Amino acid sequence: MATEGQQSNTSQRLPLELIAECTGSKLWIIMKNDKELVGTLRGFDDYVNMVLEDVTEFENTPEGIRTNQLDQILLNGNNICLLIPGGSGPLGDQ
Amino acid sequence: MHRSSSDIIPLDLAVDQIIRMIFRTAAKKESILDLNRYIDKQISVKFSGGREVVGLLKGYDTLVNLVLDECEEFIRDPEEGQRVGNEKRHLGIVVCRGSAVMLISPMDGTEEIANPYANGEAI
Amino acid sequence: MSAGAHSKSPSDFLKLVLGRPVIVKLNSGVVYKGILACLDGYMNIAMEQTEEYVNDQLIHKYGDAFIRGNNVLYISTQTSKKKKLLVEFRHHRQ
Repeated sequence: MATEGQQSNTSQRLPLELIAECTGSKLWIIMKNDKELVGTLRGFDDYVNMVLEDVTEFENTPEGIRTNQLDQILLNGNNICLLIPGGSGPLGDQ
Repeated sequence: MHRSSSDIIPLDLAVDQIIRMIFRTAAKKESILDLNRYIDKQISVKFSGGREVVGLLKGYDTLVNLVLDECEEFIRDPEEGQRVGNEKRHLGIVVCRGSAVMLISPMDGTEEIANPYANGEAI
Repeated sequence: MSAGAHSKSPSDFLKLVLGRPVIVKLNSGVVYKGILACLDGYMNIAMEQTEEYVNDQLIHKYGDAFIRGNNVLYISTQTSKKKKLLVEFRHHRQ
């Protein structure tokens, strides 16, 4: 069944659907600047402003990575660059 | 004699419909960005702010949000924010925010050239 | 965009934190702690009893403060250590 506006392509992954599937699980967010966050996704809106829980904030500085722990936040979607389901974070992988 | 309303349409309405038809065909003609061609192909994406990734395009939407699989990000110099060589970090499956996307380019047909500034003086 | 029953959209979060102590971080890294008095869809924020922190150092106090939404990185809940411990205790009991 072809959806209007886009060619029928059953194998396509819609980006916002993938994010919606992450609700309740860990998500790693990379901002346009040198900030990254890892937290449990509670919800988001059309602008991809996000509600996150048990958040670790990472800031890449020339001196190294600074971390900060937060309970529950509403993250402004304006400066989000990449969203990674599973969310191992900048330190977790490898 | 009574005529049913379906027999005729007022002239201004007909003109309006014709104009709409013309504009619709013009608009539907072709988008300059046909990402469908790059599905399952490797693409390079640059973001406002300077980040740069490569990955296999798995999906997209009208706002140019992208789904990339096997995504890797180029490591940049923390002080200068410039890409240093080809050092990358693995990210896996990712969603790129359309609002941050600046440039999309297929890797197929891209070739790397030697850095013309590598052994010269800083400009 | 409503997901599962346990999801919380950004507007739900804002209703929850209204009138409570919050931490607001700007893109520049400056942090404001205070009582969230009022806010709108642009994330413009009015705060009371506001403390301004730069590099974790208190540099100013304002009775009332207004923050323009485009500068906001995130709005975070501010839970006291005591409350956190209590929550953990409850988890152990279950």
